[in-house]
Amino acid sequence: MTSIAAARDMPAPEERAHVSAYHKSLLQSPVFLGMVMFIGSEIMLFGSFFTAYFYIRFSHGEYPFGGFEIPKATTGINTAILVFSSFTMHWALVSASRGRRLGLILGLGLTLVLGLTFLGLQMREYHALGFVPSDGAFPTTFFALTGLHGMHVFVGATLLAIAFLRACRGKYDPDNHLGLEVTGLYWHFVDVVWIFLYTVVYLL
Amino acid sequence: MAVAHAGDVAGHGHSHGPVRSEPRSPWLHGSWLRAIWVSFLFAFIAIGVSAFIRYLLGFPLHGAEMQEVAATFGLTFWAIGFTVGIGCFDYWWGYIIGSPNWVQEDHSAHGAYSWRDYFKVNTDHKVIGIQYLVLTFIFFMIGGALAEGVRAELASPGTQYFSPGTYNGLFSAHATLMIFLFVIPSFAGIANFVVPLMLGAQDMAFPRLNALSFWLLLPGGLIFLASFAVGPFAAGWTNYAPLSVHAPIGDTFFTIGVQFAGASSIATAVNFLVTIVTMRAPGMSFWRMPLLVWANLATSSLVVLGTPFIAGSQFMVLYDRVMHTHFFDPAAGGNVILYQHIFWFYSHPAVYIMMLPGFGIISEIISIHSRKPIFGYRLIAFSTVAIGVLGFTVWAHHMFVSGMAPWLRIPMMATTMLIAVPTGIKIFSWVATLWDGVIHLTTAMLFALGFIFTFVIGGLSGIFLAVLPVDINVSDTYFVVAHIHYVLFGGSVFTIYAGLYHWFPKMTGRMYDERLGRLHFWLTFVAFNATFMPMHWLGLQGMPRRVADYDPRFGTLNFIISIFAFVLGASTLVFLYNVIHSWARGPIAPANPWRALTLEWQVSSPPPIFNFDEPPQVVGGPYEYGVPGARHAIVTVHEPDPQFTGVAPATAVAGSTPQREALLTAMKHILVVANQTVAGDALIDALRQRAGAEPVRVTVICPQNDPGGDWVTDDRQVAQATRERLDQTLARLHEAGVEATGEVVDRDPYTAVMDQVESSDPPAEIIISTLPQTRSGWLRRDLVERVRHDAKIPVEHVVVDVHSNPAAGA
Amino acid sequence: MSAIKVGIVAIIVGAIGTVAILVTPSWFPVAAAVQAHRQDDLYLALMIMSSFIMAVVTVFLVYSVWRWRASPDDMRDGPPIHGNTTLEIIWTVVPTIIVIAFAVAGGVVLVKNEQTTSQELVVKVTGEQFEWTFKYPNGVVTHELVLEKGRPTEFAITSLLHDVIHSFYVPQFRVKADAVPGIMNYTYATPTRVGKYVLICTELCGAGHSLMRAPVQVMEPADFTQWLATQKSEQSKGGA
Repeated sequence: MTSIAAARDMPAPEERAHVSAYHKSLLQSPVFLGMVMFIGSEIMLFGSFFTAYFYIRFSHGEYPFGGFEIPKATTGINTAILVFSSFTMHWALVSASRGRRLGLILGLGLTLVLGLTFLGLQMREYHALGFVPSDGAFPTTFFALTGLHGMHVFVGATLLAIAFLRACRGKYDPDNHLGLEVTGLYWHFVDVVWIFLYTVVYLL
Repeated sequence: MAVAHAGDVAGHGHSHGPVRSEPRSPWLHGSWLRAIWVSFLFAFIAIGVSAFIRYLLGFPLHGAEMQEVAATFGLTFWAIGFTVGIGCFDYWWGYIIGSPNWVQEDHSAHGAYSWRDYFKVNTDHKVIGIQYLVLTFIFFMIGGALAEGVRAELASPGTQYFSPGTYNGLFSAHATLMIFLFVIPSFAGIANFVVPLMLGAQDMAFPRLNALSFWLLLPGGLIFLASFAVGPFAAGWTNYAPLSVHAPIGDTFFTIGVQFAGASSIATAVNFLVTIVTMRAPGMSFWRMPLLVWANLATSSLVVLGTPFIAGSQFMVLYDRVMHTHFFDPAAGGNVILYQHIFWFYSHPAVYIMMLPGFGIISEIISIHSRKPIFGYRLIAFSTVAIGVLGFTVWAHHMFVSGMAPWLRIPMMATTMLIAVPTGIKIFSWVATLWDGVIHLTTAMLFALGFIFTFVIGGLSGIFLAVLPVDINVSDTYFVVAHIHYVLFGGSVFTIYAGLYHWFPKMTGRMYDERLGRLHFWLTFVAFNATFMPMHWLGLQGMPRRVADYDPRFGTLNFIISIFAFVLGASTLVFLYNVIHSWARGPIAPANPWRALTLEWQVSSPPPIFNFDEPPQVVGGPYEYGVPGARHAIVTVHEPDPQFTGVAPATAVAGSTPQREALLTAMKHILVVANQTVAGDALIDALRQRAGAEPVRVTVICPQNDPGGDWVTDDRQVAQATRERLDQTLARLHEAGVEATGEVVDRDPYTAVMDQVESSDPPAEIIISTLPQTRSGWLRRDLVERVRHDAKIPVEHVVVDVHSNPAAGA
Repeated sequence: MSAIKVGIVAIIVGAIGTVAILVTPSWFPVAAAVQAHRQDDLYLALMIMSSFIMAVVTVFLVYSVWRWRASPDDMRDGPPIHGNTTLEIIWTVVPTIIVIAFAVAGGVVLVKNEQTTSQELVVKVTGEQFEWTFKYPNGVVTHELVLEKGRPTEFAITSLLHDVIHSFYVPQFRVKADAVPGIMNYTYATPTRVGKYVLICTELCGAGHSLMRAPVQVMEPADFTQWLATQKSEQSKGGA
């Protein structure tokens, strides 16, 4: 029955014990492996937009080309919010694996709130920028990158909301919270992309 | 406990899903009807919302820009709505909202029990594989028809039939459909069917995602075709900026269609990667995987990493068109060549995506049909991976004349040259496999041999194209058209045909007609070479590609080419006829007509719904022909029950009560009749085996009263002992994960059984357990035969020898 | 026959192919530039290499199928040959050497083809939907490309800023370069033959792509100088 276990969405704990040793670790969670690969493809999607950004940036002398200005400080605060949200996410995950319901729900809730705050502040910044994507090649790549990231934050927030509701309903237990792990992985990915984006676009 | 669909349970032995008391209208549950209205509703809402936002922002609600916005959001949400309506998301939606009807192990959409199942969302990889193959073949015919339109126009110089815009649309759509809706998904279809079987798995890692992948493809293809209604996209399948940015509305259709085809492809690839990595049967190390699996591993990696780049490139074109951004607008700081870099960074690996699975197929066919191990298995596996990796380093050979950074050209020439080496290794290895073999010229083998011939030509012309000065000369001429068709038709399509013939018996359970297959091969081979070989010369002479009009001196040759092109088109009809006729009426195929060793051939044709009764044990390599007694794998088949065609994996029943009850009603109900033998090992083993094959719930009855026999008792002590034995048995069954209840009944066995059969919760099957013939009062009374005759459901007889079995009779 | 013998047959077939290639009249249009001659030689070398490769693969393939073809009821298996390390090394190393050789040759030809000299004539080429325009150093603007035999010429090619990509291709010169809005792209040709040729657009540029051509003419140096002077005076008088 060993390989059949992998065909299910959530292999029951007692079945993992029968898995043959040589492909045990990967068999632990095909779903997690699938999410890792999906994130790989998303990294490449960001890669294509970063390619456009770098190509256009380095074909001009000054940066930002066209005299546009971007708010490093306020976005820096936003960055801190997003980074902090990864910590609250981690707290939620650790709480889940230790069976601490309060930590799980608080952690998830906080992460969601912080994520939505990030989105809200980003939208405010978009308004305050004073330029729109069609104003030139730099605004184009700027909005494309940050916009793509924002869409991913939105998806992440949706996943967090679903996880939050399920956590409130007690659907996660210490041995069985794959949906939560996958959500956490996605959220960390979104955060790491932002750190790279902020550093490259705003700081460097 | 509610009893539902008792007849279904008896007849099919699988869960039809959660119990519903109200009739399900096709308009409201996953179906084509729902797909139609949901898709248009989503489109309508999307267009409405975007129009409303434009109104709020003060933008005009008419004109070209509004059209673009409407097309973008309308098409995108139409396609998403289609997948929602057809039912791809029902399961996940139930999970998200915590629906009480939601069952975690829901196999209700698994397996094809009638032809109708092929038109619905189905989670069985074999069904999905066939869905892919049929849909992609339809698009192959449509793409081919478009090509015949091009050839009709090219039959004589000057323009005859089509306006320039339409003509440009013909070849643009031809290539787009062939690449995104035929070659790439066709290989996905073959792999979908074959790879899980080859791995010894019961399905892919993510069967529902698999279904979604398929259903994403159809709306994508329809979006491409729909562009003909508004003026087809006409900037080539390459959609270069700035032509694409300035093109009319049809181009938006292209950029969006690509997203859906791409999403379909990526989801499939993730599925394959996880399946191959985690679901190989015990004993199947990477070095014991068939080469088709290696090929799919490499291909899926390319898809996951590369496809996002074409998605990105088309997003950028879309943004430039709709939002007036400036990615590719040099007047505002953008860069035209940027598009080509991003586009080709995917589109070069794309050609390997379109070729590597074909290489895998050819490895299988050449080995099996010449009865020899594949020559140089490890080197072929290495070269497959090498091609995958190197494939990411050669993209700019499509841009040698583009005006990109000049220093990039020579390194790209070098990498392009090097990639010929692993490809050559394969060709030589295949020929070496043929050497001294026992060669059976089946249709699959003919196409494989034809492939080697045409692919070497295509590969050689590729080497020509790698050499910079030659490429500079022949770029964008018919030389390139010749090259691409030699590698994509003479390459990919030949391998697809080969694979379809080779696995046709496995997929359909019937043999195709060999004579028609041979006719198809020779027609195709001759017409193909006659069509495309002369194009090399045309290109060298300077005939550009993507033109309707050309130098009149090329008129005769173009005319001849067009004739052969139509013959080539007609050859597909031979194939179509063969497939349809054989599928309907061909001779029944054996499980293993090619006497092959790989796992897919060790199960029936077509395979059982859940493929394997238990995981096969892989004990050797997959190509050990000529080695006496060599086995690739040991497959255990449970005693086939003639009544039931499907077997399902064991299910651990868990979760809250409503799920449990729903599951219990859907599980197969087995009645076990046993008295003295109730704790016997043989009986318990038989039940464990049964439970291992499909979800079952067991009712055990221990009739105490057997009038006329030596075992009559209504002695309380004996009844108590029986009760204890029964409890032990139930406990052991519970340990083995089998749902079981039981009672000691105070009736004779025949009456007790018939009471159960006629009750409101009848069993689907009966197991009667008795002592051996010489000692069984029940058998002296012909209990088993009488029950078989009267109960009208399958009755199995298990014999337990209480005296030799220490556990029983305690 | 042993594999060696089949191999020898294959070499002979390859040699026959080579002869056939060498005696076939050129499959190219007339070569009218130094660059063309170099490309043609390189191409010929590639053809000869291909002849041998094609011969080896085809002869072994056809021989195997002919010699070891089995009837459908032949239930034997072939010998369990899994590979041959020597052979695999050979067919990895030899093709690598061949492709590297051609890559080097191609690189050498490319560099030679693009070498510039001080005598160069620089012609600015502008593509637009659906017409070519040529501008000479003295300010002459034409829609016909006229060149001087023996004079190395640099083509500085671009497309109008709001136009699309076109491609500058003269088959008789064997040179090509895309005309891209916003950048300047260069290609080089030294015409060697007086005559009339054609410039063909080879990048899909819209509805008029099939018809986007321009006449090319190579003149003797004296004729060219005269033509240029005539053009100049005509355009000064009447406008371009």
